[in-house]
Amino acid sequence: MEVLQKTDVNNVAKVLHGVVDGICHRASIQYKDFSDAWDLEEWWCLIDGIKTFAQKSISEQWNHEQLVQNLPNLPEDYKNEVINAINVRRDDLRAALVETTCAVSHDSLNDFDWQVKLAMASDSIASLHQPLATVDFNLPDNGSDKTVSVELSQEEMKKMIASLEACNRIVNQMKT
Amino acid sequence: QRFRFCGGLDCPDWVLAEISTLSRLTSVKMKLLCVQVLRSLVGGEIDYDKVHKLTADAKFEVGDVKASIAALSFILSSAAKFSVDGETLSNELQQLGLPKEHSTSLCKSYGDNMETLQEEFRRTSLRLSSLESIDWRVDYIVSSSHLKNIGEPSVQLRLGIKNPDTGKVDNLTFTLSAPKFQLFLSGELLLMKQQPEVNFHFFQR
Repeated sequence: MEVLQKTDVNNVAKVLHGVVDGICHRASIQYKDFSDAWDLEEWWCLIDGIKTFAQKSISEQWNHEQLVQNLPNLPEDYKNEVINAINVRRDDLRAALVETTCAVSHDSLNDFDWQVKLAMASDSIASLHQPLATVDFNLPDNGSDKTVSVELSQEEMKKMIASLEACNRIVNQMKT
Repeated sequence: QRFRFCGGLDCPDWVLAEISTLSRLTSVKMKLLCVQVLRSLVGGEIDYDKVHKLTADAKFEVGDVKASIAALSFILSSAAKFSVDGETLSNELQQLGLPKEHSTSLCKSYGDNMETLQEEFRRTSLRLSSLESIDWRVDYIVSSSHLKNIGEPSVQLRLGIKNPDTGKVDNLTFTLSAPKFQLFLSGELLLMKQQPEVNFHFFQR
């Protein structure tokens, strides 16, 4: 992390927040914005160092002294910038690590999309007027993604929601 | 000539041809044949022994039996498909040459069963997939290699998705963190509230 000194102290916050955004699965920081400060190898080392530092600080729940201790070889003002950024993003980082944990066993749901449509007619009956919902589940599949679609009629939707609401009651009880 | 029970199109030639075959039965026997055909249209089985007894007097050959069952199937299902009432159907069949008595008894059977037929057709209309079952489990995550102290719930869902062609049910299992699960549930609740409405004037020609 010593290489952080290669850039101006005012940019430190930008770099830190960019890396945390990457951990939280939002648009992550781009090398090209900082290519004048670091070469590519230094950049990769720096990003890895920051990621490890951020994850450890949340996991081990470092207090201020421990944060300072784990940032050797950096001048005071740089240290402060790093610590500030981590403190501000604590909640985001923790939520991201919980999500990663949930993904440890089984497939974890990446994303879901839905649409509602009205089936007007079919070859069996000319006037159908049946509302149908389609839900797409986006799941990881050996490195890339797969999408599974389910079509739901109103009764099936009601059944699903009743079940999910029962599940939600338990989830709420467990959230302390 | 356009017929409502054919969806506003011409009556198929083969149906027209079989009207005369049907006319060879007495109207009572034809009604009993209707009962058999209606049963098959809602997923039951035709009792072919009964059918042969019914058609023996009129000296139906095997080909005639098949053709008359096919014609009745077409007439009854097509009329239900296009929501044609019994009286209109009776008039249209008479225009095609079916004797009045036969038309009346056919349409009485039809009228009594039209709603049942329509419900069955609605139920069996094309579906891309359907949700057969949903199972869930709530876990309490204590700790992980990513984060030492977690203490939060996570949800595992298993959806049984049925393929309507094969009837096979595939299980889709996945995990969600508590916030993602609640986002999913609120999304589904929002979905329920959507009432798709179509401006019908657009479809009237």
